[in-house]
Amino acid sequence: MATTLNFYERAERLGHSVEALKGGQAIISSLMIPDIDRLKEVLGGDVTEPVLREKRLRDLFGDKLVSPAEDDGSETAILNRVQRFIYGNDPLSDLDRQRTKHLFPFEVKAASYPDQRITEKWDLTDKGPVVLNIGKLTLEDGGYIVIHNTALTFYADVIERNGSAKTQSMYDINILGATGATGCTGSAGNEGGVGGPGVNGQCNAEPGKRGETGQRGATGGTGSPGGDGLPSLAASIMIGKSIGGSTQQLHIMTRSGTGGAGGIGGTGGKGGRGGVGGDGVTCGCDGTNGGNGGNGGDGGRGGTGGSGGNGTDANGNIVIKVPAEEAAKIITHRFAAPAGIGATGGPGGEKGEGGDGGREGKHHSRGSRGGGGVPGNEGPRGQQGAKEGQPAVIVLDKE
Amino acid sequence: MHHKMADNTLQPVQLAAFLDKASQFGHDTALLMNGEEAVSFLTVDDLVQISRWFCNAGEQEKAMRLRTFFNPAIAARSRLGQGMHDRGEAFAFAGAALEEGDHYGLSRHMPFHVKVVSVLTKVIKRDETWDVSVRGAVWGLDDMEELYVALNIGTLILAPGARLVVRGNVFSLLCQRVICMPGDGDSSAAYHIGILPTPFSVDFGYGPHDGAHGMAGRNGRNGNNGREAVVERTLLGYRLQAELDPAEMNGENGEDGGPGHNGAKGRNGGMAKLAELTFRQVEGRLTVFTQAGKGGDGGNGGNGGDGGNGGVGAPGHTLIRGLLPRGANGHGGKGGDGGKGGNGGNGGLSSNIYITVPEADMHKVTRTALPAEAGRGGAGGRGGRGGIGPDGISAAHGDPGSNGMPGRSRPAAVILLNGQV
Repeated sequence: MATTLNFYERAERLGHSVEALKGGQAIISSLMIPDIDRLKEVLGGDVTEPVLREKRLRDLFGDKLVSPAEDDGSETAILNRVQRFIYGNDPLSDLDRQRTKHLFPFEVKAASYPDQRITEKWDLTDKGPVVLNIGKLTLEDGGYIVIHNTALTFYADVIERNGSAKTQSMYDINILGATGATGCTGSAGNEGGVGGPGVNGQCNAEPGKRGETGQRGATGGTGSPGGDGLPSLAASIMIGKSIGGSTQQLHIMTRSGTGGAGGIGGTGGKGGRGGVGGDGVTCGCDGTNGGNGGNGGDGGRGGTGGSGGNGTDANGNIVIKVPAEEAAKIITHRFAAPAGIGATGGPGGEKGEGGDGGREGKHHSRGSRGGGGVPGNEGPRGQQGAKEGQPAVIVLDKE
Repeated sequence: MHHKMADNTLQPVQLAAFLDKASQFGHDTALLMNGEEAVSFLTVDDLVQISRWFCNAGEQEKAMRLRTFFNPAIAARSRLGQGMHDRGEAFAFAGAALEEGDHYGLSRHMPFHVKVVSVLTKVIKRDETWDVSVRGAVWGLDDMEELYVALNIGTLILAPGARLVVRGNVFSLLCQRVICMPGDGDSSAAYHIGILPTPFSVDFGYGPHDGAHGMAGRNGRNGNNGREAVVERTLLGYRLQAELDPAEMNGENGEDGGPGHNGAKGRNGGMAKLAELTFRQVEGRLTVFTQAGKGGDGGNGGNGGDGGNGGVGAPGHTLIRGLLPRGANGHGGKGGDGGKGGNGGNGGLSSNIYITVPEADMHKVTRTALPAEAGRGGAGGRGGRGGIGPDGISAAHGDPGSNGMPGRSRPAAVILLNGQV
């Protein structure tokens, strides 16, 4: 679909009813793409000139080395070759066609809006690529567009920007990755073992012995690392006629996926209970004292916080095609995706309780309860993710 | 219904005997004659003194007692600690000689701790109970010490439903004249004199009378769900962001439930101790009752812990590289076995009871001695339920615990009336 096509011509190619659109209706559909050739037609068929196709391919994905299908069956390599087939001039080998056959029918979301007015966040994120065909787009004060980790093909004849996004760090159109998953909390440390019981007393006036000290609680598990960010994907933004509205500007921002935060360290294990004091004995009409209970074990240290995930580089660039006289109205913003923060360490485990005193023999005293252990220390904080994610390149293509 | 209070006067010989015993106890006879009740808590240094205060039998009667003192129930425990006490009591109440080895054992109990009471006329009102027992706290002793109670009563008047009881003390009652007023059918009392057990067990065990119930077993931990594959979208759909072992996508099996803890054993029943009841004159029908304490019931076994549920397998994905199948669901954990029920405690031990009355009054005395009941065994704990997998299939349940064995009943005390069984 060339940008020279008007709104209705574009809609027709998406299979949307021109009649309904002329009646003011918007049409949103899921295109069930039967094979890789039809996918090429829908996503990359708007440019037919080989030179222009090659340029767009470079603009969107840069100059990547291509490995032969026979040598490299990795997902990255397959994806690279498919992108060159869809947007550029490379053929797709039978081997790659076979490798990707299971992905079809493939769902692409397509929507046509003759006149779309946005007053708040409009999130275009979807599980497959999105093709958006708009006649006139009005971004009212507070309105803005975001898309996360989703490929976008965006057409609009006229865009009017009134006011601003009114949301911190958001611009008019935001091509974003997604934050990586937060790591799971570390497992709690096991409770320390109970101290061994004291030896029972004997009839030679030996009292019960003291119980053993409970074992220290185990260190809490390390929180799992945060997931790496999910990348922003390629976006083609084609503005056919003009940019107007009160601001006379259109701000386009991109940032790939931020690393996810690490998981909190697991709680340290509780200290083991002190061992029970040995029982006193009853020997005929007399007996012995019970032994004292053992002290409780110390609480285990909290687990180390999980490290943050890495920021992820963009997986595809942004190409903005706009009439030359409107190009100055496009303001672009590119931000690196920060690495995820390391999580706090887990709390220390509770102190173990003292063991019960041993039971008394006849006419004697029960042993006293043992003292408590010491609570465990908090675990250390996890490290921040190691790497920022580089943003997509934004290419302004003036017609 | 009102009963006319009985004439409480004593014959001179009876009064003299009463005052003589009171003097032995160190009680002020003048105050007693004024109607006061004297109660003393004393210590006695030797067994001879105990015999003189507590045993009101003559040498001939003692000799007769000795012939049957070690009846089968008493003889059976001769090797227990109680055997030494029995031999000491045989010395004090039946004129037996002490075994050489018992001197040392008995010395641990010296001085003996004694409560002595003198009262010229004691009226126990309708449906009231006069409990003359003494506990060790009076002397700062624990409950395991053997304690003695001696009553010296001129006239004892028991209104309908009235009772005199002693609980687990060696007991001596010298009563010159007892008057048992006839019941009117409303009385709930089935006896007048009760030789009852200690209100606690005197075995070598610990814990409450009825065994504690076992704690329930720990429930098994639910299996973790399978690890979800982290995927990212691309132009062509999903791809794995990070490699993972497909086995990690399987749900974990639930943990087995822990076994229930065993119920604790019931304690042995309280002990009914030796008693000598001497009545110089009996009016009305007198019923003496004794039964040692029931054994404690065994505690029920704890229920087994429930098995943990199986974890859910992680969802699969259609990846560029192919299909990533979903993880297998985990199985539920087995239920824990139930704990065993605790065994019931044995019935309490009983010692001999000697009743002495004038020959002519023997027919007025009814003796009731019941065996001490055994405690029931605790019920075994229920087996824990098996954990359930995400597919709805349950793991095996735990086995129930076995029931505890009942304790043994113990023989009733032998009550001798004027030396006759």
